[in-house]
Amino acid sequence: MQTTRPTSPAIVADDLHVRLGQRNVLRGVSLALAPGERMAIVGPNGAGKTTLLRALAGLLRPRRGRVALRGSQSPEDPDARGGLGFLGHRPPLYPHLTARENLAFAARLQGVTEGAERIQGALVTVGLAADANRLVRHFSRGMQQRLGLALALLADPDVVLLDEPDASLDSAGVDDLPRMLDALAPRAAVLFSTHDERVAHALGARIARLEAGRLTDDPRKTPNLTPPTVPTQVRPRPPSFGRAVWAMIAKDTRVEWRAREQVPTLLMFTLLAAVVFDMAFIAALGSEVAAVAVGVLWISVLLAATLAGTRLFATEYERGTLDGLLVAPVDPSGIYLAKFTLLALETAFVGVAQLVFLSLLLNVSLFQASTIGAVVLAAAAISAILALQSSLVVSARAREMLMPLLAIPPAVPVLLAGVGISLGALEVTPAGQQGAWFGLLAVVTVVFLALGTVLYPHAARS
Amino acid sequence: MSQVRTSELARPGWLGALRHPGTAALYALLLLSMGLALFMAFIFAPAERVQAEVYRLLFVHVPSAWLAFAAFGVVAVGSVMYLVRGKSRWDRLALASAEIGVLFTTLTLVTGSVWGRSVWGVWWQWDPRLTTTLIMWFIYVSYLALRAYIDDPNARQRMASVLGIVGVVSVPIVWFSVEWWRSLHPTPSVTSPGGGMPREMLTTLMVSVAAFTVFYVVLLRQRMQLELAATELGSLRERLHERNEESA
Amino acid sequence: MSDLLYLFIGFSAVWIGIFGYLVYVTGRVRNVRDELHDLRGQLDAPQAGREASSH
Repeated sequence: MQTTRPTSPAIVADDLHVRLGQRNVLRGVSLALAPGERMAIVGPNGAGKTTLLRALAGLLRPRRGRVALRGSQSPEDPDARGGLGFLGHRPPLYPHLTARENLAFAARLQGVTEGAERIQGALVTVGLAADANRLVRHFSRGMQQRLGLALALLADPDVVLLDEPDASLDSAGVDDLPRMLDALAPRAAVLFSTHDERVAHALGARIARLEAGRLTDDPRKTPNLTPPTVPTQVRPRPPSFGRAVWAMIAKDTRVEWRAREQVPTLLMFTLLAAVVFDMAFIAALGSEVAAVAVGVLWISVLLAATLAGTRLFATEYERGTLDGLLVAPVDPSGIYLAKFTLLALETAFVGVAQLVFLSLLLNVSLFQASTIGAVVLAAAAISAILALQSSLVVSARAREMLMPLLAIPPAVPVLLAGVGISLGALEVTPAGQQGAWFGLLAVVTVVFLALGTVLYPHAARS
Repeated sequence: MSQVRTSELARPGWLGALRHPGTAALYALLLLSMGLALFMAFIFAPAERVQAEVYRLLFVHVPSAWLAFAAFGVVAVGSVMYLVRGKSRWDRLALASAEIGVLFTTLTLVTGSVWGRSVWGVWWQWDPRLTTTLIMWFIYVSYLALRAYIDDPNARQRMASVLGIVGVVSVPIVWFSVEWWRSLHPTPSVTSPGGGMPREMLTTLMVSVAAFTVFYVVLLRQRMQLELAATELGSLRERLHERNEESA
Repeated sequence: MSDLLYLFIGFSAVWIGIFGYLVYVTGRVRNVRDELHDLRGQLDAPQAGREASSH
């Protein structure tokens, strides 16, 4: 449990320089906010408002300078993010979950105790109580913004960063903003960007102007430290690593169950592969049918994993929900492990289904304990590789083309092992090497899981 | 931001770079060692009993392979250092080394294939070492492809660094493949004790490796300078663009 | 005799590969530096307040 020290500033930026691509977007920004204080950043388009907020949230690593939240902690420290509420230019919402489910997922990631009451309170405050059980994909842009605010303020944060909170809200919503903040985050230091100075005045915020990556006046000079007004606050403890990973797996499974974007398509794909090969070869084949079945099995496992793997991180990245995961008080390697588990489950499911299809269509006895074991373990090995590579291609052009090129070469040992085990099971080759092949699959899984856990955090944060 | 020394930015002619004493010495060393290596490969080293003359391909095949391994090792080192330190210099090292490593792996595969045609009678065999080498080649080609498809320099450097570390796993697999599986590929007669390689051949091989190492250093230096200049060009364009916007 | 032909093919491939790459990279370094030179000129020339650019 941590308590905030009332006298130390809640947000400090010291000489921040951020470069995006070839552009120097922030060129030495310094500011400090006392606990409970509010500050509005105003400035023209392209001045660097969004970049400043993302750097303060730890989503961008500054090239020079320092950020400290809640006293002295860097936002790259998961514990510091425990008291952070962040809303970017796009609310990090899952369209196939209801408003309440989106909030419940956030509550689990933030370690909010008594989540149900807090969620109900937040829904009432932002005016979405009547729509709590509707899917977010049916929400209007303004409703999504309200839900995004509820999400950012859910854990009673003491540092709140909002990128144009008034964007896409109707005038009633804009008028409501001060009340929402007062109700949900009464003690928080709030830093937000806006185009509208009236919003800043309504929220009682002091105004800082950002132009061409610099603040025109130095707000450090007037550190409005008003210590006694801020009561010491007990933070919810961040969830354990295991619980956070479990929450992400459960969320992904539920999204897939609702959206049915991956598994049914992959099942049809494998069935089609089995049917096509059956039609093409069955008349011409005698004893070689077993070899063809094994080939079709492993090609379809690899391609199914590659197809699903391409979208694994890309969907989160494109919906803006990846930011939501990254600002949660969880070590980013947990995101990799959750995505790995999802991909392994999907691949194993599709692979086992293909065992059934092939056994029926080609009349070979592929559905055995050793081949099922091989499919499950190979799914784990391939997913350990692909989950990491999927995170590498999110910002690449032509990622559907790139992914197979990245995925297939390191997956060759997995394929060899899988083929080896299945040919042994069908007695095409003498059995006896099964043990070594299973060993290879286990080694590949362990090595790549270790690499992914260590390296994913580097790929996640820019 | 890293600054380019202005002396290097003056327009050099094709031979202008040689005015720089360090560069001139490096190129002289390159010519000397290459000449020596060629002389030794064709004249000093005796013909082989079984394979007669074609075995001399060994003197380019083995150094290319070793330098490819070393180059991919350097990619991993540069990638780790980039992730730790965040300095673009390390990423430039990794990129340059990866490109040269792919070149050397390609040459290893080509010379090996030519040798195989002469001795085995086929251009390609699915032998463990050949197969693992081909996989290694694909892994680093995909590394270069990933770089080519990410436009944002920051993301490109981070993603490539991760892949540069993952990829190096393939190097020991290629190296030990001849010991882990039955292979048609000649065993490492240099590293094994007793060896069985006559001393003249061994000396020639070492001189060739040295010459290829000099080549690697020259190529690496040149490729890193190209990347530095290209980055500089990019930021200069950006500055010009910003200034035009301001004046407009 | 074909023995020597393969030897020749192998060695030529290596020399063409390495020298080709060196020439290609050196040529590009030259082009990029030429362009840098031109841009530097553009950046400096019409600047009224020169001291502004040389921070």
